[in-house]
Amino acid sequence: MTTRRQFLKGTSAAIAGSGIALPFGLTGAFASGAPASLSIAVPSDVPSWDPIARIEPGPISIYRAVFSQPLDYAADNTLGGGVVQNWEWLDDSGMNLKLTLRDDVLFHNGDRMTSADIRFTFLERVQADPGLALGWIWFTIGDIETPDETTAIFRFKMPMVTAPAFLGYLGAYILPKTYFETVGAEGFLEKPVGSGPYMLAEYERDSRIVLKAFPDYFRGKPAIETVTFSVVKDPTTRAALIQSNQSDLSTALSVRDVARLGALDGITGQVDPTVDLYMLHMVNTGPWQDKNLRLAAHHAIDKAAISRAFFQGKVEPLSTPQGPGTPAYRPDFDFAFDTAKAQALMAELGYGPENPVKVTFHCTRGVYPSDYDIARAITQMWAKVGIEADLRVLTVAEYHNRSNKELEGPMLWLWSNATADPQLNSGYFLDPNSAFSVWKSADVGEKIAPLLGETDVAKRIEGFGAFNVWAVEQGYTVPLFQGAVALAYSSGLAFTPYLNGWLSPAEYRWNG
Amino acid sequence: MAELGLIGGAKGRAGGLRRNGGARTLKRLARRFATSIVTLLAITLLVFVVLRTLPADPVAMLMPGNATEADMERVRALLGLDRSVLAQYAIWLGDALKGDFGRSIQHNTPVRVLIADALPVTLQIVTLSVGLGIFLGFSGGLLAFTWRGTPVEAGIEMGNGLAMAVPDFLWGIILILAVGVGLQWLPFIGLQSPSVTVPDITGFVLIDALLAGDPSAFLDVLRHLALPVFAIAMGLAPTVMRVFRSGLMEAYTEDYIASARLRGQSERQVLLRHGLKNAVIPTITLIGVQASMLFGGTLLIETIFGLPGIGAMMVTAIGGHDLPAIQALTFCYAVLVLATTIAVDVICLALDPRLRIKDQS
Repeated sequence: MTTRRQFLKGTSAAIAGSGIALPFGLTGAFASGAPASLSIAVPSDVPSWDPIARIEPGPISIYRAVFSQPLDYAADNTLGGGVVQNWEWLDDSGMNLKLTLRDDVLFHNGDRMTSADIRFTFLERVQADPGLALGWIWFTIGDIETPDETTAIFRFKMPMVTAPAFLGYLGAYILPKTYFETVGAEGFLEKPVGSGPYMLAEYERDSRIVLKAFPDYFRGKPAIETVTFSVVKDPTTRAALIQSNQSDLSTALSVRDVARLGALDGITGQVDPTVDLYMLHMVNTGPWQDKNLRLAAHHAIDKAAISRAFFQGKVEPLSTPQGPGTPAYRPDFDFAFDTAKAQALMAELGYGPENPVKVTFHCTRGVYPSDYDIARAITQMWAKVGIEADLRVLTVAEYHNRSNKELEGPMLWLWSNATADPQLNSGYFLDPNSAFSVWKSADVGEKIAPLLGETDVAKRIEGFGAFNVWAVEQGYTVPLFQGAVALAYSSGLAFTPYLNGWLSPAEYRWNG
Repeated sequence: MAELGLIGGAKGRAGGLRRNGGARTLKRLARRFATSIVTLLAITLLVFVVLRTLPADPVAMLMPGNATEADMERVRALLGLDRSVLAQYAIWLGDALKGDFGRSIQHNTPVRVLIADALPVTLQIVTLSVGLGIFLGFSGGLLAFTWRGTPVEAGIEMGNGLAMAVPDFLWGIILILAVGVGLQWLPFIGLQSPSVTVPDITGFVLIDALLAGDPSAFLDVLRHLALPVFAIAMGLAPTVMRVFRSGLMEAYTEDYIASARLRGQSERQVLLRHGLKNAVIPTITLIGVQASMLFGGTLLIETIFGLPGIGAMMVTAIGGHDLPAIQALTFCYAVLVLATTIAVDVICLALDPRLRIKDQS
């Protein structure tokens, strides 16, 4: 059966082929979707083609298409080998990590990747330029030894048990030492060379990135020859692009648009849960210092109802800050939605729906999917148990500025951590020594300190599982539900969703 | 002889007046230029102080989750954000005068480079939009005037009123939905199709396509620019139409129109020689003011149409609290607006002798 989109493509091709052209060349407007090409509409560009200069979760999918990482997260979010085929801690200090590299990895210019490239990327460059953001993660490195071309030994100045997770995450893109030193930083920005599945063919900042398949990619040449990322900041326009067949895949859409697009012929709309998490950062000030209030606020939230209302019920409510399928997930622990219990806790404090406690509640608006709507729903749920919240919208920059000193009330936040490592979740946002922790108290510091240096992975994960349960029971954090990515794609595309929300065009192919 | 002497004297005085007038006009322009420089400095200082006093921390947006307060302070010092606001401004101004606007916090790239990439895109869009806006405005005005007192004029007036009521970003969305998604006639994202490559020669992609001798690429870019240009032009055309038509109506009440008719000139001659000439001057002044405002309209239009100009760059910079980029872009916008204003002054002085006489008096 011919779909509307196929019909449009066919008609367009037929008219163009027959030489009949409408005035102003109107027939050739929609050229995406040729079997050898894929057009993807994304909300953000890469900040720089020096992939270690700035670290942001947004452009990871683009960077991963061009550059390789030592380790890699698979679609199910398991950490596995990439360029590095084996990694091991040499002792239990968490300070000596040995990586064994594959010997068949080529850069796009034909140079073979060696351990010298690892040393250059993670040590030499960040030491030479303190402005590189990669150095703000890997400042713990004292040295990287390279006894042979396929072995790199990281010697840390202090324990960094999260090193393997970070080797597959933010900014960990291996640069070609010889090429970089030959062309210099400016030359590299002009013509970046990685070892990923695609080579950069064309780039227009904040507009489009054209990639060509790298025939010598160590995992094999990708099925789709040309991938074009179009940078489209406006979500409505991204939705319109897929609807008009000008993109084959549009991501970061509104859930409402995905439902609408999914109903059209030839388009698949999908809301996929991710390992990110919606949560409330709790504050240790004012009325929120009272445990009863914090617990009542948590019991009052009907997370399943919010999931149904704003995410088609696709995201799971969470009782601890780890989602299903992630390490330290605790399915045995349930923090119930219980209005009666919340009301009882509030009654102990002398408050009720007729006599509410007045508090401040913060959220973003339009930064994360449905953020403001979720906050409003929570405000209404709180009102039923005697919490009258004054909802205030903050920009991300304002939030960061006030997060650890001037925040008067809880903050609704989407915590993004593609590794799902619990240390990069609660290990950061509850650690009182972190600049980004909102709740700060001595008891958290005491509980979390032993976990931060634990090198036994199983023990560390188990420890964080227990720590998370304790933190939720104290009301120090309020996990809500999983994050979500809402996207739509041409139904002819064999699309592989990633649990961390990444796009991986090297794994896609066209059906038929 | 005496008569000739009188004439010669008058001519000499006229020549002297013209020379004096020219000098005064130049003086007026110089004064205008100097005022613009002061305005520019005031704008940069104001924006600088406001940005630094906002409760938002750009460093916090750059740092990884494991950063400590000490790490934050270290990076703050690295970026020079730990100094006093005035000290930062003095450094910024000194560097800016040398053409160095610092490095973008988000991109770790010289802001000068980012603006050099983005500015041609915006200039192309605004130039085409002004051109289209003027064409539509003048055509509409002329049509309404020619058919004055008929249903055609009423129809044009009604259409004009509707067009004025719709802001440019809404035009953008309407055009995307109607022409892009509904009719599927024109592309509505980016500058060119994925399959089209234009070599970067001048940075102005339309000109580059022509220089490369690639008419199909030129047409492709033009098709991509059609909708955003139309959306922005609709912010100009209705006002131009209204003022131009009023100018014509007013001009036609003047005695010189009646005199021209009495001299036996045709209606076409009257319009071309007298009507248009007098109606166009207030319209040009208005176009100058409106064109300056069109630069502001690029913020939303470039974002909606995915165009990599300075408008979209400003939106990204504001979102990331990229202080050096915001500062430089504000400077850039201020220069563009002030330059447009001066250019309009020059054009008006060239077209309207009355302004030069005012100078002399």
